[in-house]
Amino acid sequence: MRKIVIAGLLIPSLALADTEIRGAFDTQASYLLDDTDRYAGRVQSIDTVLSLELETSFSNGARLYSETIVRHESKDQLEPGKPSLSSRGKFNKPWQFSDESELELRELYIDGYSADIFFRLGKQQIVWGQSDGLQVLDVVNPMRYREFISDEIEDRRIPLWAANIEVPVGNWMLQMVWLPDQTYHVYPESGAAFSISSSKLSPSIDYTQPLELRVAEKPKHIVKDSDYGFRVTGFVGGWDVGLSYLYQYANNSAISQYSDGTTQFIDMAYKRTHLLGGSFAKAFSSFTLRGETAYISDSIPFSDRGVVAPNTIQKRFPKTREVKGVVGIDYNGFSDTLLSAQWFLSTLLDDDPAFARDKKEQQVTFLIRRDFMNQVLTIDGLAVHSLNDDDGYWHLAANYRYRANITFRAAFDGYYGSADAVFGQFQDESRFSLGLEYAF
Amino acid sequence: MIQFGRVKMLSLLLGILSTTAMAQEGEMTALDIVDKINGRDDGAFVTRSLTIELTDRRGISRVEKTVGYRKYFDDEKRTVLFYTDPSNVRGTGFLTFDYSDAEQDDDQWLYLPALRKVRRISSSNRGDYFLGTDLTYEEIKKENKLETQDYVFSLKGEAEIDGRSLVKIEATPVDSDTADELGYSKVLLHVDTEVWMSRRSEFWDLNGNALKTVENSQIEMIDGIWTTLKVDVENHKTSHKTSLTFSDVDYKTPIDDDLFSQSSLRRGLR
Repeated sequence: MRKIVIAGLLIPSLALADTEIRGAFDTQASYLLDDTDRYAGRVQSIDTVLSLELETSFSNGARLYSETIVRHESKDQLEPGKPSLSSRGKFNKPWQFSDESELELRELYIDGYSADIFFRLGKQQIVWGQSDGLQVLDVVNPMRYREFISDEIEDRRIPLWAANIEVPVGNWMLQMVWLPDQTYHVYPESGAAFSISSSKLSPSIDYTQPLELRVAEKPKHIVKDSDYGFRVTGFVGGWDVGLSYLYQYANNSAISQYSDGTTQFIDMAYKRTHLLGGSFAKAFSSFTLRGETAYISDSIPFSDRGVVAPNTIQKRFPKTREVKGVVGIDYNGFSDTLLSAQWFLSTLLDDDPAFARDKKEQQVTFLIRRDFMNQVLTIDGLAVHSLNDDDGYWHLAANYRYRANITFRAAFDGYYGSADAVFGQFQDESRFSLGLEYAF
Repeated sequence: MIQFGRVKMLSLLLGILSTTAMAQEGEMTALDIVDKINGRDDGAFVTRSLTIELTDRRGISRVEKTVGYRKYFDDEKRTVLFYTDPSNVRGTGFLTFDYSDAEQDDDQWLYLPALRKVRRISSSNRGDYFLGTDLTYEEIKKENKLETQDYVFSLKGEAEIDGRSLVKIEATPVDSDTADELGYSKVLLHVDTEVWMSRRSEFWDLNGNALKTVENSQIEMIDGIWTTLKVDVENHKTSHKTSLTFSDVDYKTPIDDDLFSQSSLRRGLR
């Protein structure tokens, strides 16, 4: 009761106006295209999610929003057991109430206006950039790679506790973000269907040698270790333009590996970096040209020094400046059809022979989406191809809207290429899925 | 008796006015009437709810609810549409800047809540159907008005529908390129000159086959502006039907300029 009174004193203008409850039930079964001895049978996952949204509007225009989900994955192969989720912040972890089930507060925020200033405070998603499939500027929120990139990006992105303030400045919009949530990318642990095994991304362990794992303490100070940044966006001469700055702990932990000949050493730590980025988009007749670019001051790719004398190592984590970007073209010239192509480029500006990845990495993506029967049926195909390793990912899906709130879907998700490449490492996880979504 | 007398007097007066109007129309060309349609006041700004019911040939319906805003910025028309129901499309937003210069492409943005991104999209082909309906982007944009540069208009006499005497106007695209863009070889309008709006419009495809019929009904005067509250479209080729029902139409409450922005799309309807 006291809390209610205090809240009432602090925000006397808040009077309950309207509350809405919505939700969705989503279930999907995935069946492996190739037989593999990894699983008993070929069913990769049976994933069921119940989401509940609660939205309360107040008379002064403020709004309280929450989304809570309960997930049950009955095969327990995407994240076997109860993974530690050590890369998630203390107040950002789902409650794993069994090996197969968890409950997660996805979002909880209050937003509204104070004069012209918009604010959103709480657990939320902050999305920058417009690219599909791969991210350049969409790095504010980390990702949960339980299905690598086979699932929807909405399911991958991890909402963070954050303050988001947007201030109009003339014809521009200044967005300022502060993120005191120390949550970073979450990768499935060893033994999971989509656990990382590519030597370009993670250590290769020699089981004949002892291993010493040295993990630096994860950032934990709410203020000192918080991320912050800003973004300025505008519409100038028909162009959407944006400038972004983010000072953050990189969502990927820095990982470095070496051996002294008798023992393997793996060092892990979270490191800060500055990101300065820009974006643009403009439509020309049936075409839309869009792009993003980012300069990263302290990129730390996974490094493997091989066998070295420890006293010759000067920096535990060799770092480099990195420039990356994407240019995309969308074409809407055919009725009910979207064609899209993107070219991604990432270049490391500094050399170090220990870097496991290539100095320059390029990917291309192609997307086709077509609506049929007044948008009752939508078919889309996406291909992501690495020009460096000739590996990639493809996705072909059909969504059938049986009713406005009932959708059936069928999808193929495939990976190809070398088993040591970023996409090719999951070639055994190519699958066919059937799903149903019911919204209420 | 007194009341009857007033009604009789009013009827007589309306009859005289109507006869006068028809006499004036008799001197009007088809283009004059189309200009009257295009000159119809549609308000400097409007807020309205829109329920879209899409029914396929099997009779299965999808119902979606939206809230839309339109505002003129000098000659530039800006519209924003937010989906509110069902929950799986709630938050979807569509923003358009429609420039007075017909040569200048519209600027359009789409916000999909599943992606949490505002996507710049090219202005669709004018003849493409709008978000699953049987109305094209051009028809949604023009709101019962016509681009005079696209058609040659001719009078085709009168017709009576639901007891109303309507002027028939045939509109044929000025050339084959325009016909291709619009997707029609001919349009027949049934114009009610009391409200300067077509109550029934019939469309023929590029091969000359009957394509669809658009019926505007429940035309009411709201805040001094003639407003159609019900639009029914039947596509004769696909047997698909679209029913648009407008409600809570408000031409008086001012709309903040900032609502017509990408930020507003991201933040969602409030």
